[in-house]
Amino acid sequence: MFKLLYILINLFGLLLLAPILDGLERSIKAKLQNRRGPSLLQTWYDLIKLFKKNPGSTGTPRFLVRYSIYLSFTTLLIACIIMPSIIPYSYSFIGDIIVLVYLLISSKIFLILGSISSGNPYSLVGSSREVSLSMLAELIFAEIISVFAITNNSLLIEELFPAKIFKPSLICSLILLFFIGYVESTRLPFELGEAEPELSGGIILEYTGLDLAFAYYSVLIRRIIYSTILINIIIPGNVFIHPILYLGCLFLLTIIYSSIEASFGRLRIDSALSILNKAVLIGGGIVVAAVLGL
Amino acid sequence: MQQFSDSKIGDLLKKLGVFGTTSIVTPNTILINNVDDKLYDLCRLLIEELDAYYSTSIGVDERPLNGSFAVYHVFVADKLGLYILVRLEASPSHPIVKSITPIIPGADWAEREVMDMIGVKFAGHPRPYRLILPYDWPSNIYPLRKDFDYNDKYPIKDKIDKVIHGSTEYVVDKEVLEEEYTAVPIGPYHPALHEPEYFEVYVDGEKIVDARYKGFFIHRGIEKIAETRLTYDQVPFIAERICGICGFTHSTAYCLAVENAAGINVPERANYIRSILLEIERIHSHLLWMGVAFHLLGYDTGFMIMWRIREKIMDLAEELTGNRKTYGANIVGGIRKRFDISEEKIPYIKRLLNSVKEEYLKYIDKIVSMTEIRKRTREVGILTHEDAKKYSVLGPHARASGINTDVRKYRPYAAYSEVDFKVPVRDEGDVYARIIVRHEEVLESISIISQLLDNLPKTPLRAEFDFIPEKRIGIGCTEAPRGEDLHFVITGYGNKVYRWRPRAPSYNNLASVPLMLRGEKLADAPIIIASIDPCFSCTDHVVVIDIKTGRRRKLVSR
Amino acid sequence: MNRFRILLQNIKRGVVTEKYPLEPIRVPESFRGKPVIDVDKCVGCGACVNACPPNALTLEEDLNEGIRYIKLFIGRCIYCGRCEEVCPFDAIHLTKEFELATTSKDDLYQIVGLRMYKCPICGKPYTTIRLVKKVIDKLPPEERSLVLICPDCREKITAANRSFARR
Repeated sequence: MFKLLYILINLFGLLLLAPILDGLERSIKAKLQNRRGPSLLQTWYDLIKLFKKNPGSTGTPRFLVRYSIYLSFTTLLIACIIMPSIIPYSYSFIGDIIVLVYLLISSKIFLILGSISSGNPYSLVGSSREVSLSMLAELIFAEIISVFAITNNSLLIEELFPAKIFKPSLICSLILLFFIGYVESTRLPFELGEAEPELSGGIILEYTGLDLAFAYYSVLIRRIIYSTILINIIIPGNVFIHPILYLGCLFLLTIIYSSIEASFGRLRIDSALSILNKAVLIGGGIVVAAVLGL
Repeated sequence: MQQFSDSKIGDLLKKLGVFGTTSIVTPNTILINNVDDKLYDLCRLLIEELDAYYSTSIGVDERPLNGSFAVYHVFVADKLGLYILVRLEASPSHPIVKSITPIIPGADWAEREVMDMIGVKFAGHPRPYRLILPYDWPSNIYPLRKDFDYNDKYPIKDKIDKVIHGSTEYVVDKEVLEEEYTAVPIGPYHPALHEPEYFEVYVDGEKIVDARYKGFFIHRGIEKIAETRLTYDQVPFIAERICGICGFTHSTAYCLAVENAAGINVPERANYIRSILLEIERIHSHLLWMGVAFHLLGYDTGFMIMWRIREKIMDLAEELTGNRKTYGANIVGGIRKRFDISEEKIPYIKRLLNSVKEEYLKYIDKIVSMTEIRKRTREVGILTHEDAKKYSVLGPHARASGINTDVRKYRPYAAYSEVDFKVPVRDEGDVYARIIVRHEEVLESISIISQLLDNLPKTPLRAEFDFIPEKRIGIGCTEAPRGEDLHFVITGYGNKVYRWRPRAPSYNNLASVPLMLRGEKLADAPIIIASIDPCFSCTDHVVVIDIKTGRRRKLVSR
Repeated sequence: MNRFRILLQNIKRGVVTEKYPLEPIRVPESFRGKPVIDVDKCVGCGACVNACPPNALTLEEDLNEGIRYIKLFIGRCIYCGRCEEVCPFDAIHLTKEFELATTSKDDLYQIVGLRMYKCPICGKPYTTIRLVKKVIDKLPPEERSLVLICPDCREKITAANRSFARR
């Protein structure tokens, strides 16, 4: 009984927190740029405004453009259910860690599918960039997850989060996860799919109204999922102190991420890909180290 | 004309047999009439022997004055400090003159504008299509003719009996390119652009293959308003509103043109104050541009920093002139009394400039040394020295490609002959060079203002003159933040100007954009377009060009 | 590492944005804001109307009632200050007001109505009483009578005088 309640608290807690974290990020970025910035609830106000509008998208076939965004959003919600966040409990089954990886990948694929179908040249360019980036980034994510599984000898999220065995390879993979969580979630300098001055919106250009609200919301939920994975591996799983530690670490991580974002310009696709290529090799090295028992 | 008789230019004119029909209109402008069939030889000789460059062409409806239409081609002999006007006449019954576009491709668009607005046809023009007016403007109505009232609205039912669409004359030139590659439209609305213009960029994946340009979305009919409704003293106010950043330059160039035509000597103090305000404008324009360039590169923090530093300059402008941008200080003959710089303001100005310089230097080196900024600006959007000369680009764009040109130094106006400053020139020709040229110009401007403030003379602010003589030609030229800004004025009757033509510098610079875009990546397109610091408000007012010029043509070099 | 030094410098500088419009903002002394006509000093000469570039100041006459109106419409004003510069009687000044947005267009009009002076011969109003008074004071007594007649009647009288003189 309680278990269902825990899962619901996790799900709605994440849904509630994601825009607030974005508000915090915008506020921090603003203060670093000598201005005041919006209030913490600003992203919520933006989303609510968009929720009130009519959905509208173009492209052929039109249903593909619209529903792919909803599919993308829903896969992320499922990922929220099978992953512990505020309360260290989730719906668990064997192999759910692999399902988590696939859910994150398919969410990206649905997003790209939707934007390619719209037929807009900017969306095409944005999607091609996003595909190149995601192929490498998801590969690195898979490498990280395999290091978790190898070092802790389990494929169950229940047993992996928090990790019991902290080997050097696990710590290296956590650093890599800190990097990938940053790259995968539309933050400068890797904000190439949606580059506004260059592509006036890129992937999410053709969405408006309700669809755009879900496009933004998916991005925000992705961010919090990656941050949650990173935090929950580390902090202990006591039901009472976990929520407080979790929220504290989440805010800290958000502040760090937004400071980093304020200090970088956008990379061009070739530089971004070369950086990710190096990261793939490093990830591969860490996996080998984990297999060897380091 | 006697004083030119023995000089190089006198010999040239005698060789062609037009020495007799040449007259001096102002001490630095000569007018060559009755050229007829010697036109091509004259143009060629002017460019080759005097090292002059073609600047612009102006069409004038002179039927009330002498019964014909006139076309003036303006050549600038930079090293001699001379403006050479070649005048062609066309009769109202048969308004056709010979086109010089076959030998000077830069005249392409100026002649098309004359065709649109005055209705003089140019025989031999390779692509006589509409330039400024929209597609559905009737073919026989010419707005800048004197019988077209500025209040006339389209369609004018009692002047035409049917609308002849101009759309068949306008060709968007779709060639084979479009079928093979994806056309990415940049504009008329795009976050990278500040004003509406349209670049059609053909891409293959991320690589740009070609680019086309169409502009003129914000033509406002300023010339017509100035000719029909405004007096001499009211035109500086509308000139200031041509551009949202470099307004004071336009009003100064207009005042210089009228003062040149009427032979008015502006008092020293007014010249100093004009120079100070012009340099303040230059600093704020360059800081604005740098902020925009960093924003286009994705580095928003740099954008915020540059604009925060710029705010101090805007406060200075507001303190001196009462407004952040449209200063309203110029009037024909000098500066208005309200805009005097009093003694007690001078220490405040110096303190402010020092703090701006300190703050600016604290940041700019660090920002420009960031890896992603360097990677995306070095070797990107290169314009070679030869190409820059062929297209006659102006201003910092030319200086970044190795051409040493600056109106303030070589044809000084206002108080620039009294100050000492360097003209920064670099020869890489990439976006990074343009950033560095503008950076050095900011520092030079701060030093120029300090020198001017130290020596501010005590004279009246406005010249005393009785009236402005009629039917005189004058040319005023200033160095706008974007390049050379040229205004052509014919003084008129009833305290009004007869013809006024501002030619903004972005007109020449835009020609080089497709050349720089070819072969680059799409991600770099916004920063390359922005690196010439285009001011489409200035350009669209005057002329727009197609960037295909010079792709397969032989250009007459400078 | 430079990029983080930039951030530290920014943090040291602090927030620079001001809380306008939640707090008032200071404008410099030379700020060019809304022009205001001083109704006591305006004589209706129309010098400002001549100088105004966008025709924000206009002059209208109601000849039946004999009133001249000088109308200032702020909607067209460009705040250049030419009216202040040319007014011979110091009757219009640029204030420092810039918060002029309003939902009622009437707020943007300033209208000065001046009673006009009628020509004693033909009865047509041709100038304002205030202007006549000001001009009369500056003229020598022998020339005052000519000013008090409208230009058309003055022309007829001068022509008649001249033809007398020739004879």
